[in-house]
Amino acid sequence: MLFQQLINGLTIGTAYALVTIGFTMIYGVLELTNFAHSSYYMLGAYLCVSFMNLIGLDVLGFLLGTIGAILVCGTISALTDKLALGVIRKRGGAAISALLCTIGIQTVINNAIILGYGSETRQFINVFNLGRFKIGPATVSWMQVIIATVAILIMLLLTFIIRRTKFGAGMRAISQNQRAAQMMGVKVNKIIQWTFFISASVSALSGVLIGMYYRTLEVNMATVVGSKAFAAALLGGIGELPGAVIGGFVIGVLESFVAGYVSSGYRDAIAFAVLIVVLVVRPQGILGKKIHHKV
Amino acid sequence: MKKLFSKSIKRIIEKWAVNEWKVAFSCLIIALALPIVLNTRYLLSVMTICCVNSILAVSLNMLTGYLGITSLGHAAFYGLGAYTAAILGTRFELNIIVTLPAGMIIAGIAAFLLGLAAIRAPSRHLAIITLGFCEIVKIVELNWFSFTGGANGIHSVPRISLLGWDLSGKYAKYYLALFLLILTISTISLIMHSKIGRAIYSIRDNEIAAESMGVNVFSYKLFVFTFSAMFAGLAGAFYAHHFSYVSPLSFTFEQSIVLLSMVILGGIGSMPGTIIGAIILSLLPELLRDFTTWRQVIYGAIIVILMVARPSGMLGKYNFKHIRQQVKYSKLLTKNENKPLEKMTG
Amino acid sequence: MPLLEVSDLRVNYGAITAVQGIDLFVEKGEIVTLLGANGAGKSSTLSAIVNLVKPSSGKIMFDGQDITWKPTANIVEAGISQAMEGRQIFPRMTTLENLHMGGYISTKEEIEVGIERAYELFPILKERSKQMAGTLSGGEQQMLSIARALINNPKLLLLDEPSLGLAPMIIQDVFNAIVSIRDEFDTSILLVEQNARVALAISSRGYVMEKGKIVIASTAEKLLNDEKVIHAYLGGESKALREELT
Repeated sequence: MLFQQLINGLTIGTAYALVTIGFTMIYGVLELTNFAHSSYYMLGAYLCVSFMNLIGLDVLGFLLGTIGAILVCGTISALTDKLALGVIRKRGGAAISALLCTIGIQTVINNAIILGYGSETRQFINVFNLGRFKIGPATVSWMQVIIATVAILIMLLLTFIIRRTKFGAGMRAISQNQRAAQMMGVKVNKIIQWTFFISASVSALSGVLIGMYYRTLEVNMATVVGSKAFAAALLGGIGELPGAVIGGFVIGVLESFVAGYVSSGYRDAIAFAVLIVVLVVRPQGILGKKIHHKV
Repeated sequence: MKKLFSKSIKRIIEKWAVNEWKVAFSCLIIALALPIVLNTRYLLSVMTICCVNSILAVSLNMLTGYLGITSLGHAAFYGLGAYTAAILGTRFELNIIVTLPAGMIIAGIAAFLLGLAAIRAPSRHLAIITLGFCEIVKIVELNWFSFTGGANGIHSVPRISLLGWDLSGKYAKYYLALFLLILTISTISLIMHSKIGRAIYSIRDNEIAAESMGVNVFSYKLFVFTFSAMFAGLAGAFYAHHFSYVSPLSFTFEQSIVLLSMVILGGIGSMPGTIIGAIILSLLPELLRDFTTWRQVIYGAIIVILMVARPSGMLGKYNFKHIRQQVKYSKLLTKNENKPLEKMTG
Repeated sequence: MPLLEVSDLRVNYGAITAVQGIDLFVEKGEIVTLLGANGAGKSSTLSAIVNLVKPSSGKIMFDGQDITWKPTANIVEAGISQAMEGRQIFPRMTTLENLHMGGYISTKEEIEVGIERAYELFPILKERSKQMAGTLSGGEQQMLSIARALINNPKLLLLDEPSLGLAPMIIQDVFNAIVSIRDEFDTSILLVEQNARVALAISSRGYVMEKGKIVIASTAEKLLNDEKVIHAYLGGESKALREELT
């Protein structure tokens, strides 16, 4: 029972971690809390199902559908920066104005999905049907293994991009000092747009994976994951990729334990209660570095 | 054409800034007189909601606009006030003389305790802490069935009555809400024009400098956090009696976001801006009623467009006090144009 | 034709005018100083040249091409580099990573050569290469900021207050380095300074800015002997003032 809860918690934690990574990437570069981020998680899953209905309900359809969903979500996200958030930045709007703008974008996307697909729960057909196996007392499905593998690969890839590529160097430079980055010849707006693209595509991919894992699509799946991603990002130390992963796992595991041993009704409350306690005791999060402000 | 437009806007704003009191007074007269024209039950109810949302937005503006702390959980205190009034009203049959202050006090106590633990955290964490608090309150409201009625909420909260008078008519409710709004605005304005207000502004502009000038940042933050929650509690308590029904779904994190939108949209830190924002965002859903399915999409798009067009909110860039001084100064200059210079400087 | 030619440059911040129509030029191989009190518009001028602050009007010609309102990244590619005021280093990168950022637009080989030369110029940076830039001392950060601006081998280097907040001994080091940058790297330099005496000593010409306007433009030698400049920027009392007082 304990072991089983842990495995289920890790699976859902993987999803939170993937959503949180994209969220924390944007936060790291712009210090912007992107409310629209979780919308791409939902939009990605819905689009994938639509594409599969067009192409075919098999593995090929799933793969092409996933790529299509990723591209569409990434493009929309990059466009929102080009057309809205970037304009606010350029006009010197307050951070909170950009935040409200992302709330507006979230409202548009979430409700456009309801408009387009209706608000009833839809089915996400699992094209793999790989079955499950046993480790000791616990049952693990192959879908869970696939999700974990993809998640780990994505995390490694993103870490590589940020630490080892020119693009990543530009990102880190922007996050530390935007003016100086410009002066080094970094094309700031282009890099920010690509960051939005990548972040939304990762979010869309995790939506596809988790949608297929639960075999359902719901119109509130964005808001449920969204607030958890905030919590996970802060818990791990915002702006830090490994922190996002740890934060996601901690919240996923905690939730499944509370749901298993206390009451499923209080599942979401406990995650936030832990977050508040952690932030009060250790404001920089689990992995976050303390930032000293110079006077 | 564009120049002409921005020039006339500038003139209007200048006139407004110089005659701020007159404008406020005229708005009050209009608000008092409006029910003569708009006298259907529906319209009065919409106007009452405008007042309730304005109370919420003005109190949130004190925290977010004046002190600079972004709260994503203002609806939690709104809900606490509403549940307090609903429970006191249904179980003990108490009237608003007790339930309104009780709603304020319970919301205030909750904010005080949360603030005591968390107000020292950096601002971006407070946003998520308040969000988490809002979720927790909602989940408790949903799950503590015996006390809060769970998802069903609490029905038949007593109608508003005061000293034996029935105040539950459409007019009485509107005027009561308006009275509460004026009470909130004047209390907060009084505080912000006092020494306390200056301390609060100094914290927003530079916390470290404020601390070094002897401002006790922690207690001021705690005070504003508690105070703003109390007015949210007041609005909540009135809401419970107004609709005679409360449900956890009215006090969610999304509702907090709507409240924050009102403050930012109108122009953060501006009292008239906040009220305008509150009225617009209260009316918008009503105006979009005919487009049921498209409503939320249009609503979101309008927020995006407004923020891109005016990133500082509608009145956010205008500091009325500053504009008044500018106008005064330029008048002084034109008046003294022909006089010798010594007289002006001397 | 001068390397950099700025004509009728204006910069506004909202209703405030920071720079009100100035003309200046920098010839190839020259060091030129821009003097002025705080708030005279010197830093705004430098920022406007590289479009970090958008000029409201005017024309900026560099190396034969019009760079007015071009994106900053393109201006850097054209060959202008700036060591910004207040040591705008990347605090959470090491010294070496900061230098690498300086060569963001350069090839790997160019970066290698650039870093080698930067270490020759400021040997202390080599010792600090693995250290987080945020933990360097003020003087080291200043050197890093200048060294970083040189990695991409610019034709023109804009230096914004390189002596700000430095100990007098280090100031001399920095200015010696500036001269050798001109001599060895074949880089022209536009220098903004408050420390007028040291700056003019290494410059060929200088401009004096007041309230957003250039009030004097002359050779460094003449400026060093100018009554007004001596009084306002060199800390000495001018003859005229002394006579007035007695």
